[in-house]
Amino acid sequence: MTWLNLERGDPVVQGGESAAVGSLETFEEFYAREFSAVVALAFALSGSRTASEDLAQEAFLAAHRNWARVAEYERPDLWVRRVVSNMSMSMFRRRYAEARALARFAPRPAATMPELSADDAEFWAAVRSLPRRQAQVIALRYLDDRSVAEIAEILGTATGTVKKQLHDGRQNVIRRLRLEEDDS
Amino acid sequence: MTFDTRAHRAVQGIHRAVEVMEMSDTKTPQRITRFDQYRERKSRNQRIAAIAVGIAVPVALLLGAVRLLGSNGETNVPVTTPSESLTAPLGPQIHLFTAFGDPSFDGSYVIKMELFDGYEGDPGDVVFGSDGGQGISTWTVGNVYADPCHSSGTLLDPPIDSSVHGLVAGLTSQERSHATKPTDVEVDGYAGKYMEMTVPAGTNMADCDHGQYRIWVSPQGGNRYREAGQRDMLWILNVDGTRLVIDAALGPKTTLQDRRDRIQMVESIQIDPV
Repeated sequence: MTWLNLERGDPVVQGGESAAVGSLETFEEFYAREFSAVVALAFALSGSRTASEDLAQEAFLAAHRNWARVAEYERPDLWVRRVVSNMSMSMFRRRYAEARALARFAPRPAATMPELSADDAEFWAAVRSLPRRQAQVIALRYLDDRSVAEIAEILGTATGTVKKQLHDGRQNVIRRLRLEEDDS
Repeated sequence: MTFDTRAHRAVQGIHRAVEVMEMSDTKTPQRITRFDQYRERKSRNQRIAAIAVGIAVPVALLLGAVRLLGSNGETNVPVTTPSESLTAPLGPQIHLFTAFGDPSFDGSYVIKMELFDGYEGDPGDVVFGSDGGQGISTWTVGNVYADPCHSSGTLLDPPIDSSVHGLVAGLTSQERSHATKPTDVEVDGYAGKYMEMTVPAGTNMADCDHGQYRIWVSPQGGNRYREAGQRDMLWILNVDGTRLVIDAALGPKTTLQDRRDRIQMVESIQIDPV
């Protein structure tokens, strides 16, 4: 029996918003619930169809290694988002994951992740061209539908800072893509 | 169109892509199975890497000792007792490259390079420096984009031929990039051409197709892309009829010493038939 199997059966208390407070949750349940959202975040922030799944898996691997501790956090779902958003924005990590993916998959690994439309790809490329924190804030707010308070917790910063980064990020994208100003 | 409208559409695009990815993965319908496979693969790769390094380092040390014997004569070789050799430093770290999963090359040759302090990379992968992700990689190149920024549909047709000259011609004719005049070079006895290419510093990746400045594509379909202002030192070698590219990248934070180190590391490369 591996150490993974030993840990797997251990139920933990999960207090995140997306699960009932006080419910028992295993790593498998956590993974099954969060994987799609985490890989989406990795895709948006890395821009790499080949690396995004690996980035998400790496984030979950980090959670799994530390599951006894992570599961006790009030919001493990926010923790795994912090890990993946930092990894995805790190040039080192992104290239590293992509290099691994390219080396592993042949022929073309992008077969399972379809290409975005030109408009969508342009939008996310504009987001990724923003300063790191602005890009993370935009992705977490719009793609992951997180509140300002949640984003502040994920990024370990103040809500006021998140609001400013959200405003600046939006304005920068509006300028770069020549969009109309929003009322909001 | 407003930001919110555009963002909403782009979010839907990402969700659709992830959904298609998950639906297309029919062999592993259960997500946790995929995680287990990833974890096991990583664990296996780490074991293989450890074995590879365990083999490569003693072999490199042995080869080094043999060369030392040949050049200096037996009397100059320091003699160590077994107990001394156990505590002595192991010598330079050796990195093993692969040509990014090109089975025709990776099955035939082993590429070894001395790894300087401050550089890292798993065996078989890219070597990274500490200057923002720039590093050294090895490639077999399949074809070149005519326009790296607007790369969609611009792979050269007919594709470049398989010679060193074919790739040099493709790269020097590439739009936007600045290429130096190719000069003769030799790495570990394999001859070829050396050139440097620079991406214009003002390039806005957001204006490029896929948000990337794509230089070439490997035979397996992997794209090599670069950042604005990036300069790449390229050694394009003829390895027994197969073209191998050693790419050492320099970025805005790369120092002159980093550049010297990378040249020295590339010059330490050994390409040995399996």
